[in-house]
Amino acid sequence: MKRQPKSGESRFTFSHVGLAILERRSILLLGLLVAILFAFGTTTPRFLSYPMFRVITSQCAEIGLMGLGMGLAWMINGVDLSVNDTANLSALTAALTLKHFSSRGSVALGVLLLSYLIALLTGLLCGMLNGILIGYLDVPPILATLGGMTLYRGISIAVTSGRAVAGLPPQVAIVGRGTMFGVPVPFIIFLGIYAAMYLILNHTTFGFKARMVGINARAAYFSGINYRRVIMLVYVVSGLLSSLAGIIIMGRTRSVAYEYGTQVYIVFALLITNLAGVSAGHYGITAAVLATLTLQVLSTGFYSRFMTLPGGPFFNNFLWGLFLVAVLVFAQLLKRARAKE
Amino acid sequence: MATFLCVEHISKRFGGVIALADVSLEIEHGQIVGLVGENGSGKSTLIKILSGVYTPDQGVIYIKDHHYKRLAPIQAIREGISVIYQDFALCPNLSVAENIAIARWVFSGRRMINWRHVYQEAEKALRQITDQIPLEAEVGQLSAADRQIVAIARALLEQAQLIIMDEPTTALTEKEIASLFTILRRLREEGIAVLFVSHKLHEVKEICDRIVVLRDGRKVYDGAAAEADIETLQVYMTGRVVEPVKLAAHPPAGEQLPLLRAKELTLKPHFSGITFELRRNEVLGITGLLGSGRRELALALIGVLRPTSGEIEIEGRRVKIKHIWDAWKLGIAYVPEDRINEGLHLPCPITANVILPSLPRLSGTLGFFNYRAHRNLGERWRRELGIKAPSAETPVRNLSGGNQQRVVLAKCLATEPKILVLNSPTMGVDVASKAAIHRFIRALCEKGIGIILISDDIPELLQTCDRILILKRGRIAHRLYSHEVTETLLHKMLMEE
Amino acid sequence: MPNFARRLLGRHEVILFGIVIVISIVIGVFNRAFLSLATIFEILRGAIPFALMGLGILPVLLLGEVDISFVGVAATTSLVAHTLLHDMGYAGGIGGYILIALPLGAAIALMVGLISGVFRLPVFAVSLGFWLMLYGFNLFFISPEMRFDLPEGLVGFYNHFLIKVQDPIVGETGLHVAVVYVLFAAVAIWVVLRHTVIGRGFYIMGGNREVAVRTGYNLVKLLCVAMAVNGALAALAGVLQCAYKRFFDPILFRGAELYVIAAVVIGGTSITGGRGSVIGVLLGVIFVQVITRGLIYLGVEPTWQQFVVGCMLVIFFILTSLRARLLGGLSGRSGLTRGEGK
Repeated sequence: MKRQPKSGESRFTFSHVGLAILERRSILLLGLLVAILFAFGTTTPRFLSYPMFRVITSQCAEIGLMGLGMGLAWMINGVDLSVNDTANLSALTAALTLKHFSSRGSVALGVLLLSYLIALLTGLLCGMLNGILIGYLDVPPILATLGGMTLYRGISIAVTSGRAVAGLPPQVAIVGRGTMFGVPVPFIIFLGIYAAMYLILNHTTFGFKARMVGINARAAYFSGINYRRVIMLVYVVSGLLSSLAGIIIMGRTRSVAYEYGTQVYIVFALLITNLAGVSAGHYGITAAVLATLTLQVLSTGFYSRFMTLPGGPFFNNFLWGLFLVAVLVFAQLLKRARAKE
Repeated sequence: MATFLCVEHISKRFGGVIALADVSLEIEHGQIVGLVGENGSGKSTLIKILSGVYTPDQGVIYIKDHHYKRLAPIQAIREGISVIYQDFALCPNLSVAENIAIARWVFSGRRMINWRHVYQEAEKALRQITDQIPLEAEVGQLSAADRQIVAIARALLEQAQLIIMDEPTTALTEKEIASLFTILRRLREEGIAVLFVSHKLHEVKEICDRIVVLRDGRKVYDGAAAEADIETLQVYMTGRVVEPVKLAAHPPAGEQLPLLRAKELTLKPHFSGITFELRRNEVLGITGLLGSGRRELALALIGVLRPTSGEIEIEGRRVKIKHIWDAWKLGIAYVPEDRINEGLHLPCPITANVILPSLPRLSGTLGFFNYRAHRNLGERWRRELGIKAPSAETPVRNLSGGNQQRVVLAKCLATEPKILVLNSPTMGVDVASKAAIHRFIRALCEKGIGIILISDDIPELLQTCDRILILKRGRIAHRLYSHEVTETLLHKMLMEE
Repeated sequence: MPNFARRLLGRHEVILFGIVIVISIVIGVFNRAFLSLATIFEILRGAIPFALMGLGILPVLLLGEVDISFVGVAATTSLVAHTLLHDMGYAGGIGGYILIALPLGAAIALMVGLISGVFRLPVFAVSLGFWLMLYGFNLFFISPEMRFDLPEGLVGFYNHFLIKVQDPIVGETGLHVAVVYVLFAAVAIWVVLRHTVIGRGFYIMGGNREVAVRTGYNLVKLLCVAMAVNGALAALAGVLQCAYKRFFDPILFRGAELYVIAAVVIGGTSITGGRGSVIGVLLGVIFVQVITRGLIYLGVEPTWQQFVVGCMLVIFFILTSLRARLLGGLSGRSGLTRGEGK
């Protein structure tokens, strides 16, 4: 009897889908989040304050959206390394649209929406290319998305000649820096996506199919599931989420650069996926969101501590790399302990 | 002849399950011993004990004059015991010569490789058996039969005294089986012992000198092959005389429109010019040897393969089946042959498995769908098919083979199919479940479902089918009514060139 | 021997070599200057670090794992070697650098191999962490700036040519001495992969893990050896590149991992393991060099390089996938796993 890759480790939660919010991993992450908040709260002055809340919630959306996309790919035994470059390319197409149509540094609402639409379209196309390569041409996901990543970054560099596109009209900042009832807009978008993803994964046929494809694509195929299309759709959704992240980044920084977040954001996305315990056919969206918040609190906390040092961001990178390795090892040990249970 | 290997009073248990109880076995040099038994009878446990993978809880193993309480894998190899597993354990990306000779080279403790020596050694071992396979060919490009020969050559090079072959004929065509038997007879002349593990009784009877039957971890029969007839062995294997399902009177070939009509289906080189009809209330058996095209024909009927020409009509309407999902949509359900990898999602509950093919029907507006709302469906099928599980939320992995197969059937039936295509549905299923599945197939056909049964199990075909088609080299060679033929006749028709 | 000829022509390496020649001629038609000895030497020089790193990841890929930390290893080892030697007042040549960088590179990469091997993690994920860690380490702990303070012995390294040529456009140029290192490394890797028991282990492990274990190979051990070789060669590439460019760079090769992996994959190495050759790697690297250099000769801005390499990769994926489908019929329904080993 051949063992299916990965299927041994997946924990199936169909039977208590309604209680997925109270899943073990989520509780663990919630505890971790509270502990980290407490730790920074007691050691860093004014950490538990509204301005800090705004910083954290407005920044977590970008990494969270990419992380949710990565998690979706991970759930079907794939990986999407192109999330960050898809985001940057999408933001770039939006920025170029805005530049083209803006007059005296200002744009009409219609143009703004058009640019967002173009950004989403870009994300859709990027995801579709990944999906075709992986789903229809059977290219291994690491390789396919590495190729996609090279291509998307290549397009960004070629189009901008490697320079950042700045001086975007102030309206873009609504999405990046605006607030509604005191809550930053990016966070509202993120929560909206969270709800949508939760619904899609747990209450639609697509979500069900995707999980079944993740567990055993061959058996899904023989049950009449068009697994190639499911794989492609998963990468398309990931691409769309990334382009949304790109729109938010563009709004927050009011500029677009091909190298924004390069590598660091992929590490974040992988961290979210691993912290949330995503495995073949198993994806706790709530856990992924909590993992995002945990990471963002850590990131903001580190930032406020180490920014005073010269070269602080570099030290941050060093720490994130170390953290990824530590989380991978820790998650693996946790899995082994659970298997023994 | 001298005894090569002797195991005495071997027992092995896993947790509460007794895998082997007090089994003794003797194998002489140059003897081919058949080891038969149903799934779960302890065959694979015995193989693993002989090759040193498992340590027996009790008992002793004697090899020549050495005796072992526990046998390490490396000791087993040094003593000349070599196992050829079902997947042959070869590297598809390497050459034939390297696959044959490299393990020995590594065992010899050398650090560098002398390719001339590797080729010489490989050639010597391979040419003992065949002249057909080039040494530098890549193993991944070879046929299953050739790969098996490579595996045997490797065993010979490791100076095996006893070659254990685990279900060696599963992937071979009849011709290839014949040449394998020639090779085995030649090995016997050279004094090499073979333990031939199989569940195909007529093959075992043909090639073996002695036959050992295991049932529920106990040895129930041990005797010369010449003295055992297949019916007796069957009884030893199953522990009872199995009542064959009495076939109901043949349904009248009414004037009604056929449920399915295949016209001149062709997909070269697998099959060509296949024309047949399937009626309501009918079980149509399709059989043929491995390589006759029966597997490909089944896959073509459900859209996994696409015939290059020909037509399929369902209830008189011409249909195009381009993908497997088209087949499901048209009311054709399929039970795959590889239950574990193709039929089931092992970690998932029964319900999730059962509802998967019915998703298009269950999905609400905009694709909304609530898993929990369909749990009663899983529960219903669990009860209807008598699946032994505490609830419909039990992961399929925890079920026995027979119950797993019932889940696969439930998947198909939940879609309310018009036509059911079953590909070897009772392979690796215990006898009780097998009979139950046969009865069930008959009951379904009474209800008006047309059933196509692809199988190479002759009694099964005769017991369940109304008509049987025999494929040979991709064409229909015989069309029979099953009440017109006997087992021996069907077997003869199947085997003749 | 028509059979032999057909087999030769069917080989990936031969096809690739043919394509390189054809592309070179096509570029040469548009710009004569491309088909000169100076250009060939220039391409070879540009290929040096990529070839070394490509040879380094070959054993890792053979095992069915993907590493990207090697560029970080190259950057860190060269920078650390330089800092140490500079503080010691070293005035010698490349030898001292190699002496420090190589073992250090092997050690860092070994750590990646050990962590992924012992905890059974995909090398890719761990190496991504190390990638970020190593560049962060360089920029924060060593130097955020490029260092131009070369020791005396290293100053002349950049124009140390084996064969000198005078070119009307480029001026004096030639075959750089570092090519010797590549040749040496290529031969060494070839001998190891082809003629040693451990070298065959990479292929066996990549082909069928079970066979490898039964034969007596140890996955963790093989992975560690592969990663150590990978790290050492990356370190060599880093040192040679810095010596040639005449500065030590904390973000050396950042982003170049894509080019290396693209080159190696185009060279016929499978990232699911068991397939790949030294010749293929070298040809893949030359191919990518010819394309990227050729673009400059065709008057295309260098900012288009990455785009073109990305396109090449995607086209390559499509072609190989279609070829596999034509050869393998309809049965192959792979691509269902993440592709990080079995």
